[in-house]
Formats: sequence, C-alpha cells, structure tokens
Amino acid sequence: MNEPVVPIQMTDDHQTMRLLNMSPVAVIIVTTREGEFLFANQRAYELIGATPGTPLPNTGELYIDLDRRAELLAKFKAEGSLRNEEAEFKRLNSDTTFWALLTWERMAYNDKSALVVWIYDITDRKEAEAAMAEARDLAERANQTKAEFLANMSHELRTPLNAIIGYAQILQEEMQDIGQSDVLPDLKRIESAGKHLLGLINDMLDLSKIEAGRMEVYLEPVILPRLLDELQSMGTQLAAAKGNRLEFIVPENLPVLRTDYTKLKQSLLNLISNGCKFAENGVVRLTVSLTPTDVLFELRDTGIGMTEAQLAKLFQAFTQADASTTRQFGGTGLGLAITRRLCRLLGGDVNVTSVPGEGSVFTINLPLRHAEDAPEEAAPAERMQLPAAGNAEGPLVLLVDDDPQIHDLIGTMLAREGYRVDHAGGGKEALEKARAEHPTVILLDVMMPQVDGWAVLGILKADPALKDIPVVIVSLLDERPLGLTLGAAEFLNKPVDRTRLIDTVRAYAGSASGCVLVVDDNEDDREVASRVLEAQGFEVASVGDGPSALAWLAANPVPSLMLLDLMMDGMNGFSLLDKVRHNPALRDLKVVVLSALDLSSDDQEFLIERGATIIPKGPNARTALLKALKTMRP
Amino acid sequence: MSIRILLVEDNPENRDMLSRRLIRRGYQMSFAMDGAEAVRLTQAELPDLVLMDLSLPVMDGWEATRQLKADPATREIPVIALTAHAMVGDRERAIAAGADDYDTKPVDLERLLSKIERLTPGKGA
Repeated sequence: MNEPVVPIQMTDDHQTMRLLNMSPVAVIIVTTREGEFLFANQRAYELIGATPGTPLPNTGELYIDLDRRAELLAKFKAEGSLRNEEAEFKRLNSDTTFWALLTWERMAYNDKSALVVWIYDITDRKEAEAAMAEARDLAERANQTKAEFLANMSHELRTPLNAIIGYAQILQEEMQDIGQSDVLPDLKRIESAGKHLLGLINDMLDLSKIEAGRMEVYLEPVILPRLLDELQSMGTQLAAAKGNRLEFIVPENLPVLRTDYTKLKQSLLNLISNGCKFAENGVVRLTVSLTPTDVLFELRDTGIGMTEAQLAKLFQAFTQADASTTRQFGGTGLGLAITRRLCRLLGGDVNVTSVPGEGSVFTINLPLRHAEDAPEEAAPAERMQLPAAGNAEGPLVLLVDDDPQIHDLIGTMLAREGYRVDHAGGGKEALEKARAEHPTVILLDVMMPQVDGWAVLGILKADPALKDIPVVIVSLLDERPLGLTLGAAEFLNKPVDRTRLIDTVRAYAGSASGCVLVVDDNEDDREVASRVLEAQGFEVASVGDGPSALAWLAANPVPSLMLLDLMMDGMNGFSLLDKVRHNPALRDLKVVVLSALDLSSDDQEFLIERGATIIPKGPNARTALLKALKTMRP
Repeated sequence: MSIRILLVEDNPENRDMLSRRLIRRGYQMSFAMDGAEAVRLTQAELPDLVLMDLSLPVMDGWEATRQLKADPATREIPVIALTAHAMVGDRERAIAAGADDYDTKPVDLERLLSKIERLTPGKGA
C-alpha cells in the first residue's frame, strides 16, 4: 500500500535553500510518527503566520473543519499519499484563515521517516468561487421573485378578466332572451377580446416560466392514443371555424412514451391551432410515425405557407411571420416560440418546412423513452398502514393506488371478504408485483405520479404473460369508455361503493371463501343456510338428498365445506358422511352437521370419528355456524 | 318545484355571474359567503345540491364539505366542489373531503349543468 519512500538529504547549500525559500508553494516536513517539526520554507512561515526560524506548531491543530482533517488522515492511511486535497486552516496570531491545496508524501528526511506537506494557497480562488456562488444565489433568488411575481400577477390579471368575459357571456344570453339581438355583436367582441387577452396572459406566463428556468418537466408514461383522442376532440372545433378538416394518421402499436403529457399536448395543440388558423377550407393533417430513436408528429396544413425570410423568424417570441398577420389571423405570436421551448425541454425539437401558397409542415420529434425506464418511486407500500392481508388461501387481489387511505379502505373491504390483498403504491411497483405474483385481479387507480394507471394498463395488456389478468380501474375520473377501450375489465368510480366493488371483484376473482355444498331435504332450511353463507362471501351449491350430493361432489372440485342435514329420506346424513369418507379425494372435506336430533352418544361418536363438526338446529345455529366458518379462515 | 342550490362563494362577481346563469335555467339559488355559513344554511335549508368554492374565509370549502358529509342530516345532499386552481391535488382533496363531484372555475356552464343534473335525478320540474 505504501510506496517506497524516497530518501532526501537536506544540504547546507545556500543556493538550494534560497530556491526552496523562494518557492511560491509552502513546504513543511514533519516526522511521520509524532508529527515533530523538521523543516519549513519561508512561504510556509508566511502562510501560517509564524515567526521564521521557530519550530512550527502541529498543523493538525489549525484545521477549521476537524472532520475534514479526519477524512484526510484516513485517506492518507489508505492510499499512502494525498494529492490536491482542499482544506481550510487558521492562521497563527490572527483571526484570518486560508484555503490550502494539500499534497502529502512520505519520504526519508535525514534518515528519519518523514511526511512532506506541500501547501498551495488557493484562498483567492475560494473567495472568488464563494462570491460567484453568492452572485448566482442572488440572481436565482431574483429570478424566483420575478417568476413568483408573474404567477401572482397573472392570477390578479385573470380574476377581473374572467369577470369581463363572464359578464359578456351572461349579457349575450340575457339580451337574446329579451330579443335585443342588435347588441349581440358588440358583446361578442368584448368576449373575444377578453379571451384573446387571457390567452396572451397565459402564454406570457408560460414563456416567462420557461425563460426563468422554472418550467418543470414531469416525465410520466404517456399513452399516445389517449392523448391523440383528446387532441382530436379539442382540434375538431378549431378546424371547423375556418371550414378545415382535421385528419389524424396514427399507426397501431405505438409504444408508451415517457414524456410530459401536458407539455406534449400543448405543443401539438399549438401546431394544430396554428395550422387551422392559416388554412381555409383545407386539410390539417397530423401524422404520427416512429423511427428507431424518435417518435415524429408531422402537422401538415394547406394554408398560406411561408417564405424563407418568414421561416427564419418563426420560432422567436412575439414574432409572427409579419406584423400584419397578428391583425389578420389573431394569436399572440408566442405559440410557436413556446412550442419550440417546450419540445426542447422534452429532449426533442420542432422544425418547419414550407412553400409559399402551398402550406407548411411542422415536425415535432421526441426521443423514444419507454415508460418502464422510470426511476422507482420511494417504496410507498412501506409508508402505508396496511390492513390485514386477508385469507391466506383466498384469491389474490393487487390493489394499486398512491393514496394510503384508499389502500386502507379498499384493502379492509377486501380482506373482510376473505381476499388476499397485496398493495402497490405506484405504477412501477404494480408491474413488478403483477409479474412476480400473478394476482387474480388488479384494482388500478389512474392518477398516480410517475407511472400512471393508463400506462400500467397499457403495459399489462401488451404483455402476453399478464394480459389475461382482469384489471378493474378505480378512478375519480369518469373515463369509462377509454378504460374499457384500453382493455380494462371494468371501470368503477371513486368514491367506491362497497357493494359494487365486492360484486365486481367477485365476478372476476370468484368467491374468496370458496364454495359450500348444502345438503338438506327441507327447502326452507336450504334457503336460510344459503343466505347466511352467501352473506359471508361463500359460493353456495345446494342439493336435497344424499345421492344428489354424491353426484355433485363427483362432478365438481372439492368444496371448502359441506353443510349436512342428518334427517333425510333415502340416504341419511350418516350414510352420506360414511360414503364421503370412503372416497380418498374427499377424506379431508370439512363437514358441518346441522341436526335437530338430540344425538345419542353413539351417533355423536360416529360423526366425530368421521371428522364432522356438530351444530344443533335452533336459535343459536346461525351464530354457531358463523363461528365454525371463521375457523376455516386462517 | 324547482331544484334548490346553495352556492358557497365569497367573490361577489363570481357569485352573481354563476347564480344569474343558473336562475335563468330555472334553478332556485341561495348563497353562503364562507364555509361556516355554508354548513349552517345547508342544515337549515336542506337544499337539493351545494356548489362549494374551496378557498373560502372563516372555514374553507374542504372542511365545510367534511362537516356536511359527517352530519347524517346533510350527508345525502350532493356537493360539487369548485376551485380556481385546476390542480389534481385540489380535486382529490375535495373528493377525499366527501365532495360528490368537482369542477374548475371559470365555469364551463354546460359541463357544470350536466353534473348538476346527474346529481339531482328526478328532482325539480
């Protein structure tokens, strides 16, 4: 570990000493073991502030930060030397400090084992760095203040503006009612101007946020068909205003993108709105395509097109192709500037080609980043107070939600029904658990940070190993058609209705508690027993005599329980039980006997020998039955 | 009888705009200026629906909604939360407080009307 030491011999050669003392780098030599002072050059005395010719104190005592000293000693011990380490020291006889760039090397000095320390004074650099950091902090604070001011200001501007727009709308409605339609065009102008101003304010806020570096990007899995659906419904109206037709050409099997949903939507909407503005009775077409590295959105319009000179200024803020366009076509002139900045924030860009008189083609390219590259969210399941896991043998339900309260609420509902419940607090965790545990049903929230429910659904349905797991969306959003289109089995709205939830889970996962076969020749008794059992979440099959019971048992999987009446015509309960126990497959079938008889001790013995639990019919039967059922659930 | 709506809104212009538009469509309006008044009036008048702004003085709309949903006498009255902040967190907080639905301001009247109709089936003329 330690390199061989280099022996040095100090000489009395004045020339060498002069050179050493003239060095701008301080040199101190001490013994390795005790740190005893051996030599220091002139620069070292100056730097430390000691009187030349006197022994220097141990520099270990001069560290400002003792932890830093310990760190350096440990590193030296491990590596045998130190190179260019920074540390701050006190000066002797002064309350000033200096910053040093340190190099330590072991050497033999006049036959002693010595440590040579080179100290380069970097105080000036450190001070400059600190000043720069302070200036940067100041600038950042100023920027933040500006951005906050703009955010507040825009809110202050929007409040009265909303009143202007709102009253203009109300007046239009009211004037129409009383037949004063001559004032309607003026009111419409007030409304339009108000909306235009609102758009300007919103755009300026966006732009100032981007310029101040305060526009945050939320990378999330984005299901393109969903986004395009939304764009189509928003864009159709825009297109209709000037008689344009909006067309979307979208390939199948688009991957789930990892990008910022809102910003991508805004960028595409800006292009669509731009195309619809400059084309008239034409076609505005959005074509989506994939390259090995990128996804491309190409927006082609049959509008007026642009010259080279106009193209050059296109993405600059506050510049439409020429000033008269603003008057003719409206708009803030900020849309394309914002679009370019947003696309670049997302790691892509937007570009344009155009032929005057024929139209323009804008192309957004975004890097293909797949949803599953997401960093894992901080183990949310551990934060949650998880309810009881439910029946250890029941069907497994995977509950996916970022809200711990929902886990508590729905988890408890399901566990009470005897389902096993596993919890995932986010999309990525959900996918991992789905792969590892292959649950019977997945209950999936939509709005989750990072990997949201739509993305989880998309990935589940694209995976051959997982696509058959029924997914029930449980969401605040009312997006049932979308959910079902994307492959969800069912869509439930929050707040969750308990009965609907349980019915839905039961429909896809089956009963948690398994099946009970009721054997009784009295129809009323069968009915009562069935109702009690079904309320406990059991599936119930019922038959009226022994031979039917045997036939049912032969035709179906072994039930969790057989509830048996003793007094039946033909084959009675005793002989049925005996036959059941002679079938090896049914040897472990749990049997509860419901009996009105005062059983003789022989009869009791017969039943108990065959592993039956005896419950006397009567007022306490229901309680006793429920108690017996509970013991079935671990 | 027309459907009675309690509008809880502290901004006089917003209150006036929304109520005038709803009155034109045949709803009967009453008003509360803060959350505490909203709870008091809901208990006294038992309206068919409450439109609840969330940022309110005295008691905010979340707390008022929670109180209405905790009271057996008012629990069944649907509450639509309204807020200027179109933020996911606000919406979820409103639903968590027990609101039956949610909309953002400025109000898109047609959308709000469809929500009101959905939550007051079979009521009114």
